[in-house]
Amino acid sequence: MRNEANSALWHSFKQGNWEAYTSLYNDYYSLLNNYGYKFTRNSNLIEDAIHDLFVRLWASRENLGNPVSVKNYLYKSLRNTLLRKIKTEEKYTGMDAEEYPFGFEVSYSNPGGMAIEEKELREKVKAIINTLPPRQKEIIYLRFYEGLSYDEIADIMSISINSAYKLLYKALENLQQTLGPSPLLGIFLGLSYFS
Amino acid sequence: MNFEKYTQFTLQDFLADDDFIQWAIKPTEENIAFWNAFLVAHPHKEDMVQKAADTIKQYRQQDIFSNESRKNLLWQRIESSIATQPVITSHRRVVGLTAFMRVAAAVIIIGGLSFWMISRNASPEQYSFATAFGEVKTITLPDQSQVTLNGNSSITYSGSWKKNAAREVWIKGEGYFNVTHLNNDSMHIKPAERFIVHCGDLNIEVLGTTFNVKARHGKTNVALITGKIKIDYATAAVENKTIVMAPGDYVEYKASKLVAAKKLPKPAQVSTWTVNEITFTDATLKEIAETLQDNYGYTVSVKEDSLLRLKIEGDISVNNITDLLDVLTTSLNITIQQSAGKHITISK
Repeated sequence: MRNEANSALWHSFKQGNWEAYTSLYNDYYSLLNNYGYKFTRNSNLIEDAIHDLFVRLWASRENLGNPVSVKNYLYKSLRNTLLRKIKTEEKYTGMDAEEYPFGFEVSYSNPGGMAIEEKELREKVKAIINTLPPRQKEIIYLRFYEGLSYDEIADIMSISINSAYKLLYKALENLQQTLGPSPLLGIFLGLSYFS
Repeated sequence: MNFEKYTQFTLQDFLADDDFIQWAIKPTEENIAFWNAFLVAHPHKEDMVQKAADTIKQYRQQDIFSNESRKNLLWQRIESSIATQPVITSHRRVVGLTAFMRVAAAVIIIGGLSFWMISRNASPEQYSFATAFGEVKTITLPDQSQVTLNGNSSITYSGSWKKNAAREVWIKGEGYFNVTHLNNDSMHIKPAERFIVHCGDLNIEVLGTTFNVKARHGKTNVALITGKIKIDYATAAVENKTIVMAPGDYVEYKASKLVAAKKLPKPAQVSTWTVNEITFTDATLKEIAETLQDNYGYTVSVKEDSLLRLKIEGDISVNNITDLLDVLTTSLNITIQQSAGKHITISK
């Protein structure tokens, strides 16, 4: 439903409708910020990337295709733009440009009034996620937070579907090792575990 | 979805499964029914299913970064970047070429004639910006000139400013212009050095200058702060003379006639609204009421017409409407009632 409404918006934007373009910005501004924030805590850099992305969208609107999901298309564009900016930034600040020169961080606040079992599991999940390499963190995010399919993830991360499978399984193996049959966790969760 | 494959699943398999994830993050009647049925049929899987689902749910309880406070500022930045960007879109269309014509076209291209230039359907984009009541917005034009629009105003211009044509904009309401100066030799003005503001039935021609133009209630007034501008009419008539303004000059037109021309004692004051300050000099209540309606979207009703002629001598400079109304109440000894929905009633 939402997808249909957005593809109508997209269509109208491509024909030069300024209101539709404004709506796209309003609809996706916070989502793009949230996604960008996983790659860098430098909010100016995220702003620059969103700026460049939207200016480019308007300038090239007549030549754009019709993405299946507007959101995924914007995620992918933001990701490319932002990663390029992070790379440039690191060049200037003299940091080592590794193969994957950025992090991917999710953060959690400590809410009150949480059941002790929930809190235990949250701490556990958080701890494991933090030990994963950035690309594994990212695929977990796209999978569990955004609920995307393998081919959608492959498209956004610019990897093959096969690589997306492999990457996710690697990340899940790490999760399973810690979350798996652990007597300690079993006691806390009050769960018995058969496998 | 069939139960069979899930009976052999490990925790990891569940976490990798599309349908399972959808149930954990977006439960629907359908998938709830499926997984309930699965757990009834395979109760030994319950703990694992529960733990996998909880893991996903806990993972999703993460902090959200939305940066809402910067949303409008960034949008303004995007708007002004687009306004200053060279337009790269153009429609290219070759209509109904027969095979023969295509060959002919190819020959012509080889012959060195730019066929594409002829068949190109150039349609310059029109850009329009408008402000809401009470909103003040600065727009950068393609030549880097800037115009600040007061509330309830709009400006239109063509997106592609050609090298050898005059720069032209159309304005409604009130705007403060800061025009980029391109001409160094006033005896030889090239077309591209001309900058023309079309406003009501006036054409204001500029060489590089700052000025304020306001067209409301059939009246247009122009105040020049620096530089030099020339004013003539959209429709040329014998009695309409061209006026050349010097800094500090103020003119007012009504129904295509010059009704006032004077020197402003403080020219800079005409643009104070651009920094969100509300200022008046020797203003009548009528002028103030008009500003409230034009720029801020209030409706003002006055019990007795004579009240409109009341005048506040000297300068008023306030930052918001509430302060303005306070000043009016105390200095004019009148009663101002403000009701919900931006309606103001003024009485003795």
